[in-house]
Amino acid sequence: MSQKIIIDQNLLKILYIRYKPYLIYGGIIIVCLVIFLKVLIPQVYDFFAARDEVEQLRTRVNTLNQNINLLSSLSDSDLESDLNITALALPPEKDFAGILNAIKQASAKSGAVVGDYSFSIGEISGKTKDVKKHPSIEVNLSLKNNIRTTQNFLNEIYKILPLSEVSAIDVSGNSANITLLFYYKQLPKIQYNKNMNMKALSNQDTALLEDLSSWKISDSQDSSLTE
Amino acid sequence: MSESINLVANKKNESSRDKKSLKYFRFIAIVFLLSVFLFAISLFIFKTSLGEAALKKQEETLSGNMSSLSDKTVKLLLTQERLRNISDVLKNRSDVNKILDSVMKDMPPSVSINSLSIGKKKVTLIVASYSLYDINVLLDNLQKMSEDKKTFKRLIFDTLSIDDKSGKYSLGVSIDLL
Repeated sequence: MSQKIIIDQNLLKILYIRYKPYLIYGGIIIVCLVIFLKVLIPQVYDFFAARDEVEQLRTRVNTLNQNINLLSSLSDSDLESDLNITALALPPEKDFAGILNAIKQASAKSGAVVGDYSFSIGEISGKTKDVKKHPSIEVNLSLKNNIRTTQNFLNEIYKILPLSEVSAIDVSGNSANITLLFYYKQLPKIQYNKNMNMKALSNQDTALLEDLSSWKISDSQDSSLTE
Repeated sequence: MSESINLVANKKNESSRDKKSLKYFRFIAIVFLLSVFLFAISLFIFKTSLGEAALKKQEETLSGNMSSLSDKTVKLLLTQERLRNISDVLKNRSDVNKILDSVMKDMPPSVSINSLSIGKKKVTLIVASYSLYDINVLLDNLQKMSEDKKTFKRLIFDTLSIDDKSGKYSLGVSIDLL
């Protein structure tokens, strides 16, 4: 026998009164589940992301602290002097005066008599397009001396700034033709970022700077790079 | 009407079952509520304990301090860049004096250099002497050095001649550098 079920307001009211506690607790459980899944779980992910970010932030702060401590411990005048010495050794641009001065000093110290010389300058005006790792100016030089004096001259020029290299030498009797390369290199654009861990000059750097200082020929070579 | 039907007893059983299940239901709801509450509180405490805001403030302050040291920063970084390049140049530049020293080190006094040419990879040498023995001594020394493979890679004997008028011997050698 089939019985027709009539759902009217009264029945709903009766059912509501009958199951009210279940509805409340069920509602609480459902709301808790929704909060857990929709709010708390994403918050857990956020927490881990925030933790990573804080870790990076902490590293950056430590790096900044170290950099500040390092820079504060360095004297501005020492830094200036170190930079000037390195700029004398490897000028940021073609330093013809420095080259002539170096040749003059080397010949004076070695007793060599310098004859003719010529420069292979390259492009003078405009921005240099020299993309070589260490661009150089070629100088052809003739010495009117025997091989011993020529050797002394080479010894001297190797220990005078700007840095040079002998690329070829022809000695014949009492004359020598030398091809010297004087190096230069443009200053790069220095870009500092917060994550950069700055380091003080290493022992090797300091030793090299000392060598370069001893190779500096005279006070006339002092020229400020930062001027 | 059947007597086996006992509506009162059934109602009691049903009521106690209902109460029991309601109790469980309530317990589960309370557990859920407490768990969510405790979880949210713990998460909040953990997040606060990270100290992100304080660190950000510290970073801003330090960045400000750092910008006042920008001059020193640039000088230090430029010096290091220059030193790297200088070190490269010094490491790679050919040491002509070393080659000259090697050639002239054990040269007998009677032997004179007529011509010497040093390139990047090759040395050409012409020497002269009245003594063939001394020229031989020089040649032996050069050969020994080429065998040591410290400066020279290969020694090539080019010419040996004598000037009839002066009686001077002349030796030409080529040396391949390492």
